[in-house]
Amino acid sequence: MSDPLTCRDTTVLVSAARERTLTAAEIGGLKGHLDWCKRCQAAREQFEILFRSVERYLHGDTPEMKDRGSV
Amino acid sequence: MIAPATQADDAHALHGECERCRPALYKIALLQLRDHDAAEDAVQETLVAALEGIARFRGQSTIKTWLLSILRFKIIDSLRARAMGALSTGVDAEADLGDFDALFDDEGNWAEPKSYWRGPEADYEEVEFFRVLEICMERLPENTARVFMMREFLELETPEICERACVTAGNARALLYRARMSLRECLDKNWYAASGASVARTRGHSS
Repeated sequence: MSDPLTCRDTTVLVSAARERTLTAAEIGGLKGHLDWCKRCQAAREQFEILFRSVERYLHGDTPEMKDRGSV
Repeated sequence: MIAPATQADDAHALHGECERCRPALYKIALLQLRDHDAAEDAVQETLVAALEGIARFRGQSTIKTWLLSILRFKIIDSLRARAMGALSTGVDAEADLGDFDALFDDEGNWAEPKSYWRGPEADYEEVEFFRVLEICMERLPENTARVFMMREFLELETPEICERACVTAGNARALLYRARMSLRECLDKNWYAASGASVARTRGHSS
């Protein structure tokens, strides 16, 4: 992957990494971009909070949630 | 040595706890199956199986976690046996990611200033946080939600998702991307911006 990654490319890779192992070139490109891009560092943290939270929700590891009824 | 009366009490309490999980199980089943009757059936089968096998519940996990693992197997079984996974129409529209263009500039850089999140900390924050997350998941378009749940709840690998959902690998990838991007945006707008849990930092921005 010789072209530098855009921020949009990094979001695609962060999503893809949930399904498959990234190639060495993809990992290198992602690291290179995240090293300097504060916005993508923040976005990656957001995705990590999201992924952890979805896992907790789908495994029932959540605080007692009263049924909010129909909305 | 446990007295028989205590065992009966325990069984009764576990039975009640299972019943209390019914709405939470139904919500997750509905996200996956997108059909009221199918979701109710899956939850009912889960609770019946749980009560039959309640002696096997060892208490290493919570009842809800245990029930969700049974629900997961019930849904995977029905996807495999009854071919219930095929997506409905509109997949191509959901797989068209052009609506995310607005988040980026012409060069593919983030167009909006980023907010920094912190996880929910206090218990009352967590309850609200997961309620917002649940609403965000319910708002996902139907096919997007089903493919996302196949991956994140059923933990199926992409080739099986494509087979069960009758979708191309490219479209499956696009729907998974849509789900994650939409959920991130939904939480940003409805939890972090609304609750003040987003810490607006000005230091450290290189751009």
